Amino acid sequence: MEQAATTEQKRQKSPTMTLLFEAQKIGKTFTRKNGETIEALVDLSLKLKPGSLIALVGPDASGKTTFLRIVAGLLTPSSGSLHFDGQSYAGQCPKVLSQIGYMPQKFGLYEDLTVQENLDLYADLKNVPRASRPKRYARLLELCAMTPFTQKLAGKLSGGMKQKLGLICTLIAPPKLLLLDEPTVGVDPLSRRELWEIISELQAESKMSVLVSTSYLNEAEACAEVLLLFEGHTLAQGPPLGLCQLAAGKSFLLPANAPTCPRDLQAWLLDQPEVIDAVPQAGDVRVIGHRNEQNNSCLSAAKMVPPRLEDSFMLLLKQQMGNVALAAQQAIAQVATPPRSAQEPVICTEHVSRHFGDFVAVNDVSFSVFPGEVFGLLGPNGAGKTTTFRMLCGLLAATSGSLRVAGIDVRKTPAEARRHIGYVAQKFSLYGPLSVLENLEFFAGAYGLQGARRRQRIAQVIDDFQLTDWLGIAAQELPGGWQRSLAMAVGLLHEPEILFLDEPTSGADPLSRRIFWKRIAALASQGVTVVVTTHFMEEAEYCDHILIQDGGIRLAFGSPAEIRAEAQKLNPDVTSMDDAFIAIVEKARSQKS
Amino acid sequence: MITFPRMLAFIRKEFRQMLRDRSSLTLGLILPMTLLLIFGFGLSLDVQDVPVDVVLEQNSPLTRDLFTKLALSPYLSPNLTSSWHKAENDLRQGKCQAIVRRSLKEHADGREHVQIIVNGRDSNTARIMSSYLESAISSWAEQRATTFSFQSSPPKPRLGKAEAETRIWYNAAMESRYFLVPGVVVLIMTLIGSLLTALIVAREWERGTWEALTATPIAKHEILAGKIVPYFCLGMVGLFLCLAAASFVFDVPRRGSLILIILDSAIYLLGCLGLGLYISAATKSQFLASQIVLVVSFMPTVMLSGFIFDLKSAPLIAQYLACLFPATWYVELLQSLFLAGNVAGLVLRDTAMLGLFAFLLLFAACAKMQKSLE
Repeated sequence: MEQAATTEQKRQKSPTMTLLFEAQKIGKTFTRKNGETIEALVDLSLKLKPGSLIALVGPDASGKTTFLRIVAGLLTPSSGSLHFDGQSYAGQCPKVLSQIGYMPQKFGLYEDLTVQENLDLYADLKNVPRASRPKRYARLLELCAMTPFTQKLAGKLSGGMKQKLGLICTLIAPPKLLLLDEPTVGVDPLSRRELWEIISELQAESKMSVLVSTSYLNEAEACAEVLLLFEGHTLAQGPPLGLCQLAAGKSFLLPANAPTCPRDLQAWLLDQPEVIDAVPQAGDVRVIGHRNEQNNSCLSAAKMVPPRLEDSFMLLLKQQMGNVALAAQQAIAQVATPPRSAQEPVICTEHVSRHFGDFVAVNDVSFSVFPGEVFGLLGPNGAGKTTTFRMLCGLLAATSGSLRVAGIDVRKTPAEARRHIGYVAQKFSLYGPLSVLENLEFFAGAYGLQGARRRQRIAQVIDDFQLTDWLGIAAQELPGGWQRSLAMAVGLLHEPEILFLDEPTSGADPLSRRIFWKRIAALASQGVTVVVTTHFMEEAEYCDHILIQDGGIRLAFGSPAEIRAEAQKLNPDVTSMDDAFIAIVEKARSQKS
Repeated sequence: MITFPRMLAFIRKEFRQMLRDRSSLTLGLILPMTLLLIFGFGLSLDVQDVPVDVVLEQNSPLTRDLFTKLALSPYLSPNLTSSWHKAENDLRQGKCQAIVRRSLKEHADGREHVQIIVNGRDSNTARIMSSYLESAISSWAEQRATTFSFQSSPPKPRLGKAEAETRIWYNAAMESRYFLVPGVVVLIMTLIGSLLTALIVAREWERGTWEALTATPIAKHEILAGKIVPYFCLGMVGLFLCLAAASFVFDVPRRGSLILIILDSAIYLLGCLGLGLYISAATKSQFLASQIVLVVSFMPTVMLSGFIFDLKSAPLIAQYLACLFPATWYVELLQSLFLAGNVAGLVLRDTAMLGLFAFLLLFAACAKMQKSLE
């Protein structure tokens, strides 16, 4: 309805309005090798005015990348038409392409060329006149504070810097339309904010239109229009404020009372019939659901709050997916939380440092984690999180300090310590050509499981992660979300006491992140200790304790509430974990310089 | 419509990447030189200083004469022994490659029997050895016959006897190096041309830069040119190093025109580049591409091109199959340009074949290099 209404409005206005870009009823089908056809996009229509900012959102494999590639001329649509500046095009059309800037997910930098050489190459490829280059270079380099690094190899830059360089390479010839495919995946909140500042500043200078796909709904909320895709279909389209209204009257905030942590409350709420979605938020739990006035519902104590985009998004998606998603969530058995008494810490690090030559990746970091805790390790790109992680898993030797995991000195007997831990790497690190079952069998053997126990554990994780339908499929052909599930299933095969997860939700949509965290909550309630790194700051709310690192140094440590309180001392405006993180890191950085 | 500044920029980028990537320089320059040295010095198909046991059952001047005759041959290194048993044992253990035994019986008419036993494990060497031995023995027999006839009666003109006079042309010294070195040049051109380029389009796919490149207005023949030029230059540098080594290190005679050699090598190299780029663009995976290149380009060059194994004696089907590989034509062309000189018919035919291959492969590579992700 919403969609029909907005297109109707536009149609009335359109005769006088000049459109920069228009996509009409775009469809795209792919044929798999086995002859199966997949509809990646169905009848997508979109109009872009000069200077507009439009966000594409949707779960994994919803067709966002396919649509951006069609607009960029990398794919030819199966049906429908595209117009750019009044000219019709499809596929490769040099005249149109020279006015479109496209940054793919892998941002297309040549890592063995320097920053300057990358800029020159893209300037030449896009026919930027030599005379105008120095000015453009200076402006772009200044915008992303990269002027001192022009002679550095692109491969040596940090993740956030690469992203910014990718962006300015795309912008080297001022495009009329900028296409960004998930530009903020795997980027910390600080770099993410900088990236958006660059985009909005350039948009203000030139009437550039931007079409961006993102899995951060708060980013989408800042756009003029949002397009929600699901399995190739347009679920909703319109200004974010209008879309938010879909969840009006259904958004609540429920405070978590002292002994229950928000994570457990959320997990319980998700199983209630009237609840559509629940997520921890600043010490409370945000709930979307139908409040039934007659019954004594779990929501009767909840406070109604203005809806936000994520609420509508979850509402629409759950309507679409219906019981499938619900079943996935409810399959995760929630065990009553055993009382957490003050026990011996299961992880204990004291004054741990790690040097790489002259470079100090981790500098004198100490913290403890108790059994059954969810522990979050946060920090900007290059903060030393992965190094800390690898040292805890015994994959990397510490230069100095003491590390005890499950009561075992990791520095002395790393192999012994590793038997107690499960590790899920950030990159997909299973055997792609092997089937799901073969992967499970191989890793069960690698962890030393034998006989009945091995069969029982494999059956158990297949059941827990609902892998039954996928057993014969090669791991590399699984959709992204299922690959993550399989990786986690493998990490849990030997029933580790501690599970390490390195950016497990990077690039995942809110729906699969909910399922992921529900699983983590269930594990923690069974007494498994979970250590996790993430770039989604709101996910830190699921943790019992968090550690914020930057430049290898411990900046803050405590419960989410303590961290927020600490940040509020620095900046009273801080409400969300995102703000708290930025405030703490910026404070530390300004002190350093 | 080629835009030159854009194409030049792309070529410059490829040059930079090639020069910064140690592995491509190693594969492009150091490996060829190593191959050249190994094949030029280490590998030889010649039969030289073959250990031969001469069984001396009867110590007569004639037998000693036979031994001296064998010892004078540059190809044989005879060793006197008195026991048949020991000689047999030596042969079994590989200490000697052949046994020569003079029969004790002397025929009334002065006819002699000399037994030759050759180790036949390697049929080719065995054949060469037996022919060396036979020629040494027949020269000994001739000398002996002359002496014998002097003793019995005055020399008579030998009527009705035909004599064969052998001359070996093009490689009079029968140095296998002379035909191996031009063969190695083929191998090196193939390595630089196909193996290196097989990686470079696949690499762009794997690193995700192809997607960004495709979204720019660059045309696909500009990409093709950008990929070809640097590796063509590297290949030509390799060629000059090989030619210099052939002339100055290995003293391989060069009887044909240098310009023709360079021109045909350039054409062959272009074909190899086309093949490598085609495979790279088709597989989009560096590992797969390099494996395929080994099978369709490197192995046939070693085994089917006539570089080591002469094709004339190969089964007909192998000969037809070999015609499908440009390396076969290039080997024939180079060996004849080096050793025989400018043979107009052969040069024209082989150059035309190389040109045809180069054209088809480059065309295929250009067609495969789609600026699309489908």
